[in-house]
Amino acid sequence: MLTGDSHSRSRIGDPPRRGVGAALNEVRHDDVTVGLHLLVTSESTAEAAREFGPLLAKLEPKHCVLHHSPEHGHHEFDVLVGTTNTASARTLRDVEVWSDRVLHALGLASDYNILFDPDQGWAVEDCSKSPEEAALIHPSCVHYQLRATIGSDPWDTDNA
Amino acid sequence: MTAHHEEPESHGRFSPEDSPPFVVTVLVLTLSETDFGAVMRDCHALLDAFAPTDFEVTADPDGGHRVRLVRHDGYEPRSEDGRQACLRIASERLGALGVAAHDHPASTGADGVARLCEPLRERADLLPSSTVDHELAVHDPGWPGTPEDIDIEEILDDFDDPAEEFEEVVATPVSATRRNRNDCRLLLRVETTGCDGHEAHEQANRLAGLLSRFWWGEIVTVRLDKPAVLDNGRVRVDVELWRIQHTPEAAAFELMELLHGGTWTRPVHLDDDGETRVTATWYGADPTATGTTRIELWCQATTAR
Repeated sequence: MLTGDSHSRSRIGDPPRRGVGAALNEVRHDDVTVGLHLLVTSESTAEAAREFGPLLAKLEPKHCVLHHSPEHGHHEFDVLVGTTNTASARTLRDVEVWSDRVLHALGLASDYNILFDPDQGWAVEDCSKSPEEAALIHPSCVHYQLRATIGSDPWDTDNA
Repeated sequence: MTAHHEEPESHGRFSPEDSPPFVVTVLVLTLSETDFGAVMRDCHALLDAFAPTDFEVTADPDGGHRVRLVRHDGYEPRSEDGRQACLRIASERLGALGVAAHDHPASTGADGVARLCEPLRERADLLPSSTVDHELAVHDPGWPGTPEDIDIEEILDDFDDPAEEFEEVVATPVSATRRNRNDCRLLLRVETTGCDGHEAHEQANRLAGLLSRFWWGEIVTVRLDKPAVLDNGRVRVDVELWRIQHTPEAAAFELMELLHGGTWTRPVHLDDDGETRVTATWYGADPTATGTTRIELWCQATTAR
């Protein structure tokens, strides 16, 4: 059992929180879902929303959570982007198209690996996550992570 | 400040990482605004006043957005129980938002949740202009059956098995179609570490055989080069396949979908004078594992010429 407001972890390199709450039931069997995790140093939640709102609006997110980590003082965005209620099976090509769309909107190069897990299917995982690259997104961004999947929560990697 | 801090910092607010018990305050708004950027902008005043731990925006498939602002506040269990804490926190939150608590007296229902419908209707300056309705609720997470609980297992049970199964390939009569623009040429460069030329050739032969069987009826040419020992000790074997009625892109992606258990780099798409060229590299086995053969496969798919 998890709660929608699960406890934060919030250190660079940690995976984002498993399952982004209520958005889980939006992920369908055939949907491509791109999970984007941003760690930002904005001083307040209002400031983070103001700074990153216009950028994230380009992605037309299905779901976005901005989490404040009081013990570390930073903020985190967990964003879900992708298709909704797809009728036909999505392919690896669709995963690539959606990942490219997100990375290009953030001003980043499409540099990622494509992985296959027998239990979880295809996933895209970016491999350029240096602070310098994160700063390309926004000067307040110190870390980012992207993971794309078909038919599952991108951050639910417990069985991987 | 950077995010590298290891030592916890106190910001004078309670967080769930601290010792329980605590209550969860949730302010839920339904907005007719369809633009995500406008939602983020319009919630600025509310975020300043409410200072939530979590700010959540969900797009409604029928239009508009649902917004949740969540806070956690601890209480002292020796002086009050969870229900009393919910009522107290509801009043305090209203006060912080500039609303007189006596105008909106909170009460807890049978589920132990303190709920207030539209408590900020006199504070239009705080609410986004597209607000359709809103509600403030304070939960004690220890109380059973609160809306904050999401049973992940139950949700996952609703999913069908995502594992894809390949159907058996049905053979169809074909004729050689060189110079047909609908056909493509796959050049597979197999490089192995940890095995000799004979073993490398066997690996490449096995790959060519597998693809020929899997794409039987669509493969018109299979050519296997002799193994070459490289300066770095690796052994290289080139495999050439001609496949009919597939674009280079489709052929490359189908190859990627066939080879599991390793890692593919993202495919690179090039267009040379109208000729599509797709390249990708696959790494098999753990390169750090001792005694394990490592295979690297480079694939280039082009239009047949």
